Amino acid sequence: MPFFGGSLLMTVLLIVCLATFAALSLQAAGADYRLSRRYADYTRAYYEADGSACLVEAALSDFAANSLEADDAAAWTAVAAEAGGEDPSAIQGAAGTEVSFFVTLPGEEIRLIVRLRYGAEADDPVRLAWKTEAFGEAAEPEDTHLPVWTGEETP
Amino acid sequence: MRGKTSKSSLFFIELCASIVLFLVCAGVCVGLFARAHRLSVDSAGLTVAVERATAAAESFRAARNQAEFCAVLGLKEQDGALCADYDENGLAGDGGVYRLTVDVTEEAGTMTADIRVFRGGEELYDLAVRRPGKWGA
Amino acid sequence: MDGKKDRKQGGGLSAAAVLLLLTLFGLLAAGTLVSGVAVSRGIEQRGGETYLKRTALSYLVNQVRGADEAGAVDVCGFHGVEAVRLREELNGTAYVTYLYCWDGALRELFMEEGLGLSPESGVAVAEMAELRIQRRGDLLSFSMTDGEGRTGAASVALRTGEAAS
Repeated sequence: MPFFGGSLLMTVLLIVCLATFAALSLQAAGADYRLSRRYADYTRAYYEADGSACLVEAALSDFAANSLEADDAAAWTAVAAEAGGEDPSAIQGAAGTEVSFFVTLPGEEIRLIVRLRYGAEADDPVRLAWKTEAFGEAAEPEDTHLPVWTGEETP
Repeated sequence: MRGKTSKSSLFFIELCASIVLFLVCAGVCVGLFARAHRLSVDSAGLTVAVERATAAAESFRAARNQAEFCAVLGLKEQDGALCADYDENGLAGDGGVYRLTVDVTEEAGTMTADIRVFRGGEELYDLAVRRPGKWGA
Repeated sequence: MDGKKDRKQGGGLSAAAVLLLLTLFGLLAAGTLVSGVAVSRGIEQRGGETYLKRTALSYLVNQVRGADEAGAVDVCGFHGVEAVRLREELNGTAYVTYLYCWDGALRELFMEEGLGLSPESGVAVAEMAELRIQRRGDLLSFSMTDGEGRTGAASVALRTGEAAS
């Protein structure tokens, strides 16, 4: 007869292996889902900021088309700020008025930097920049490099 | 002889106990596997939905008119909205698993596209995209 | 004599029952393991597909979005392969970043403009067998194939566009 306890021991070993396998599968699937969720949330945040920037551009275009204060840089800045542009600035130049502002992606340390140039004749701007940029901790990479020797004599 | 009978009975009992123990634990493990499978399918579905919605969003931003927008994504007008079906790999085709719907509205000097992705009637993802100005002819 | 026969029959039944139970146990264990392996394989396969879309493709898209300035984004040939070229100016010096597929990987090469480094100098970002890039007006479309033959596509519209450059 087979020795006693052998089948029970084998069963316990089998259960431990199966449970470990199941737990690892669940952990892998869970991590995958969290990453997908993160990707989806970031995408939504980007388009929210992109949409906000479009609203600011639309307000500035309306101002360019209808206002008599189009040669007043402060007025441009005020319009951009009222429409939701963060830290707006306007510079009057020979080519027209260059307006800059940014919109922060909700829940992210990333902002959308926009620079528009409104010519004297045209209502629609020339888009000089419409790009994302990291700020805060996200913009500072971890320094994992070895210190660089600068040529000073070692003691 | 009695001893032999007693030993085989014990082994029989032990085997029964092992099977019962295994059944209970296997039931739990199968439940975990089912949950992992569900999460994996949801993750893949969400990623495809985000990919399709993003492709629609970028095409909406770049298109010069509605005809060009529809041609790039294979959209057709249905019940007042633009729709397209995609298979598991994101390729356009009738009767696909994923359905993309786009609802375009105009407001405040901008155009807004409300993009939604469905699978089997369940909404997986939605995205609102805005573009300045209007489409040309 | 009859008693011996009875005991023999009883022993045979007991052995048959044990064998039946062992077979049942074996089938249960095998069935559970097989279903677990199938689930795990499915998770791995789907994970690979989503990795391509979520990592490699979105990396390309986000690099373009991070460099979207007038005249800064371009599709060009780079040592015989299609590449996205991103130009920027840092401290008065012009730099370019090439994004291309070379030697089984999506690579990024950042260098001073005109330096002429080879494609091998690029940093491998993700595994990739093939990258096709198409520009239609302001819309850049990427189509990728990874080492396992899985494909993915993404597109990004240049907000600054051709008219702005």
